[in-house]
Amino acid sequence: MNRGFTLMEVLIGLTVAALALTAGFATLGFITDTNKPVDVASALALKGATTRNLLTEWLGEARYRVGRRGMTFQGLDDEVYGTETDEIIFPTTASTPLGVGTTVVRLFIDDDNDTPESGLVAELTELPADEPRVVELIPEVGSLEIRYLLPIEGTTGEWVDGWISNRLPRAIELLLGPTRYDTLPPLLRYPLLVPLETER
Amino acid sequence: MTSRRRSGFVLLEAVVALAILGVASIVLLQVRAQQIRVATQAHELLTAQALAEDRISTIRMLDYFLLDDPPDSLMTGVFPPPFEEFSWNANIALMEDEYDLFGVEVEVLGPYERFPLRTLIHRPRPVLAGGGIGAAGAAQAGRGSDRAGDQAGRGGDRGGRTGDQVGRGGDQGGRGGNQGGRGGGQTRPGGGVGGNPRGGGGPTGGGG
Repeated sequence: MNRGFTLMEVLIGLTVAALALTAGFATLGFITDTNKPVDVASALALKGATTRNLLTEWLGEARYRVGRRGMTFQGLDDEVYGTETDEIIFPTTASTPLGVGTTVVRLFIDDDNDTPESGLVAELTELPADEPRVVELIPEVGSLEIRYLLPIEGTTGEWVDGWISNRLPRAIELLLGPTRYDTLPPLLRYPLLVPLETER
Repeated sequence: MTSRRRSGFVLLEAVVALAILGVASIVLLQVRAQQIRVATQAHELLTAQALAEDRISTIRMLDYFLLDDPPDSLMTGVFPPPFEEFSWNANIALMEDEYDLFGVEVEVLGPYERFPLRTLIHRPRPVLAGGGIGAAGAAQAGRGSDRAGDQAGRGGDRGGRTGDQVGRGGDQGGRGGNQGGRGGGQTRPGGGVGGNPRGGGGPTGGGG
C-alpha cells in the first residue's frame, strides 16, 4: 500500500547507495590519476614546443652584424668539468621581449647561484646599446652545446664547435642537456637545427 | 506527497531519482574522459609539429641538386628515442610551371595522430659559367668532394664543371659552389644572389 519505506528498506537502500558511491569515487580517482600525468606531459610538450619555436625564430633571423660598429655573430665553445657550457652572441631582427627592433641576444647557461636566473638564459640588448635585460628561458637546462655548419665547397659542410668568422654559418645546432635533477622536457632534449641564410 | 498518500517515497520515485543521478554522472565522466583525450592529442600533436619542423629544417639545408635527388635517409624514417613512436615521410617535388621552386611535404606519424607540414623552398639552380673560367671550374671540380664527383657523373652532358660563384672570391662557400658547368657561356652577374639562372637560358652542353 502507499505507506513509504520501512526502516529496513531505507537502511538497505542507503547501504547500496554508499557502495555505489564508493565505486564511483574510486573510478573518479582513477580518472584524475591518469589525468595528472597527461596534464604534466602536455604542459611539458607545450613548454618544449614554445621554447623551440622561440629559439628558432631568434636564431633564424640572426645577422652577422648590424650597424657599422655593432656586435658581430660569435659562437664560443666552453666546457666546465665536462659539462658543455657554450655561448652564442648574435644580433637578430626577430621580435623579442624588447620589441621589434634589432636586438643582440646572448644565450648562455647561468650556473651562478648569486643571480636569480638559472638554466638557459638570454641576455637581450636592444640596439643602439641599452641596458641589457636578462630573461630566464628554461631553468631545467644544465648544459648547452652549440655546433655551427661551416660551408665547404662541394660538400654539405662541416660542423665546428665554435664560430668566429666574417660571415654566418650555414646552420646552427643547439643541444640542450638536463641538470642533475633531470627534469628537462623531452622535446628540448632533441637537437634544434636552424638553417641560416648565409648571405646576410 | 499528495493528499491521498502518506509520507515517504514509492519505489518508482526512487528509481527515477537514481536514473537521473546515473545519467548525470555518466555525462560528467564522459566530459572528463574527453578532456583527457584532447590533452593527449594536444601533447602528441605538439611533439609531432616540433619533429616535423626539424625535418623541414634538415631539408632546407640541401642544395639544388640534393633537393632534386634527395637521399633516402631524409625521405622516411623513425625518430630516435624518446620519440621512437614517431616516424616521418617526406616528399620533395619541383613545382610545375615555377622556376627553381621546390614543394616540400613532411608528414609525421604518431601513435594516434598524424601531422602534415608543407613548405616551399626556392633554391636557384646554380648558374653556369662558360668558356672563360672553364679552367677554374675544372680545377674546382678536381678538388671537389665525392659528391661533386658523383654529380659530375650524373651530369653527363653538363660538360665541364665550373664554379658558378668563382667571381665572389669563395666568400659564398657552400651553397652550390661546387655545381655548375652547364656550359652555355652564361655567367652570373657578380653578386647577383638568387638571380634566376634559367632566365639566362643558354644552350646546354656547350661548356668548358
